[in-house]
Amino acid sequence: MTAGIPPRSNAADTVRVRLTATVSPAQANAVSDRSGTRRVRPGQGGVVLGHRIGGPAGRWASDHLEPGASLGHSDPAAYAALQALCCVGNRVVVRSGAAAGAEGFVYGKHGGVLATFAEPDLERLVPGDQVAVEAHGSGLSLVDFPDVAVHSCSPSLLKTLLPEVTSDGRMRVDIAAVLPPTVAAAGIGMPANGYNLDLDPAAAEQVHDLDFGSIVLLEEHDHRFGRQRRHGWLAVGAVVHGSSLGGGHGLGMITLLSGPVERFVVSVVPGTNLNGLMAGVWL
Amino acid sequence: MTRDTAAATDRAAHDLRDNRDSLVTVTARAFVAPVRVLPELTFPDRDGRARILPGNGGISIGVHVGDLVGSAATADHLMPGACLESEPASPAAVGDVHLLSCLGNSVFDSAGRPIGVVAGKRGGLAPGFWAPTHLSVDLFESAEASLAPGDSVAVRTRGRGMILTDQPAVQVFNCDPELLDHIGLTVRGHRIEVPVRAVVHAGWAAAGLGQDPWIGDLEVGDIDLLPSGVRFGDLIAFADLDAAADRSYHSGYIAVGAVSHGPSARPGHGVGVTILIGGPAAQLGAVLDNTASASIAPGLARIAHTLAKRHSAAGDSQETT
Repeated sequence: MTAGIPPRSNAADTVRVRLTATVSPAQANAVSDRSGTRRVRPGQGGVVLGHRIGGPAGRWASDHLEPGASLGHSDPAAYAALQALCCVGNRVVVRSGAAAGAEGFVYGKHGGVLATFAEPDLERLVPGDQVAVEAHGSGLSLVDFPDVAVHSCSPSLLKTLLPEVTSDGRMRVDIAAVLPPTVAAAGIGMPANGYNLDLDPAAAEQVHDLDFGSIVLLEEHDHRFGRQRRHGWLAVGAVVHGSSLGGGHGLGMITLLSGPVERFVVSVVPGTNLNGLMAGVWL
Repeated sequence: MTRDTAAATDRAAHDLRDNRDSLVTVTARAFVAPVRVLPELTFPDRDGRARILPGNGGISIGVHVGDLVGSAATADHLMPGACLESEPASPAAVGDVHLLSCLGNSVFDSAGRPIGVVAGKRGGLAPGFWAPTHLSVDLFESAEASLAPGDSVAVRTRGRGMILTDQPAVQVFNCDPELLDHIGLTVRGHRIEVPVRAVVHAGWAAAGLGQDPWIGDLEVGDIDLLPSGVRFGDLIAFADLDAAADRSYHSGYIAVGAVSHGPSARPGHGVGVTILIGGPAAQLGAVLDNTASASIAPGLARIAHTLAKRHSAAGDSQETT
């Protein structure tokens, strides 16, 4: 373990697998707001135009807004593999339709795997188009920090997410916001390497102000084997979907890291976002 | 069915007014669910180990409301008695029977004989989650000995639509009107007080957040927050939780429910509580109580007793005519 450089990982031993997926149809989510009024809102599934990683996540008239495209598979077992193996930062290539050849990147997971493309490519992409994903990152671990779990994180993202080991043998991680455990809502009890955890704005107003791609730290959460509250642990993730009118739902956080608090040196750096961490790698 | 707690009175101990005279009773068909093991959905426990344990589905023999909830080492999401689902061998779907059923509703076999009362709900609809959306039925001994997965049963559903006439801000969920009579509610002015075994802050609520209060249950994320002797049917309060708003964090609200399933070693899972009543803390309070009052067990036992007596009287009268 050397200070000043990223922590050692087993990235050289991880496997790259190409999977196919299909752009999912749009959903018209019917959701009851906190007063019980039922409303239909767009945002989940389909191809969502005009939103990008780095843009505001919380203010839209939508439900679980997913910028770009949501990817799925008609075979449940193939879908389960897609959900488990894809990692943030993985390359996506469109294989059919008017956008064939366009490249994008996985930025998150929800019901489907979420991918971002350049806006001109999104304008040509439609539900039903086939894409290929180069899944890489499943099995990734930190050689000198075996009690820290890495989930849904490509090797390229890991290097910038954990830029250095500090002189006292911990890992530096910059985050945009620290969130209290009470924000954790729907998604508790789910596997940590798939889907995401909803952050309820009713429990902490700062959730409203986060951006798509914001790197956040959730206090008192252990996401090694599933998502649960636990003293002395933390989880780091990225905001990947927008808010919801429904109680117990809100911005979606994909888990990227989880470990004992004492393994990390945490700095709050406003604006820390997947966009900056992936600069030079993705769009 | 636990008998030693069947000493409750037949009359409501409180004077809450409600609209029970306007409620509709609907018989819904259900099936005893099989025990299902789906290896690809076998989530690891808190230490990362995959374990397959009994718990949900089938008939849990000798497990009744009022019993200790047991240990996560020997069972996972254990429910008393029989587990019912809407359709046999279907993926998780919130069927009509789940959405209409209330704790305390009577359940009958295909010959029309009473077999027990609804004692809890369990289930969820998250993606990839294929545990069926279940009802648990606390069984009479006679039914426990003969009932099997796949059997068709009838649930006499009643309780949907119930409102408290004088306290509309306090909402009732999943609760048969007769069961409400046997929960030891106290009315002080415009405030209702419910005896509970424990109060858990919403920040420790786990799986089940963000979901309709009529579906399944809300789990307590850490069993150490509950008294060591917690039992099926015990009343548990969640502070700062709005049940009506899809079981979500809301400062100044409270929700109270009954323990419907036992603990689980899976992260973010634990003892499940089916919500019965919820509202603003100004109108609804929870009072810690270590007696049988803080449980639905006596109420369910009373309902079961009446059900058995009524059936036996009907049988006698048929024989004499």
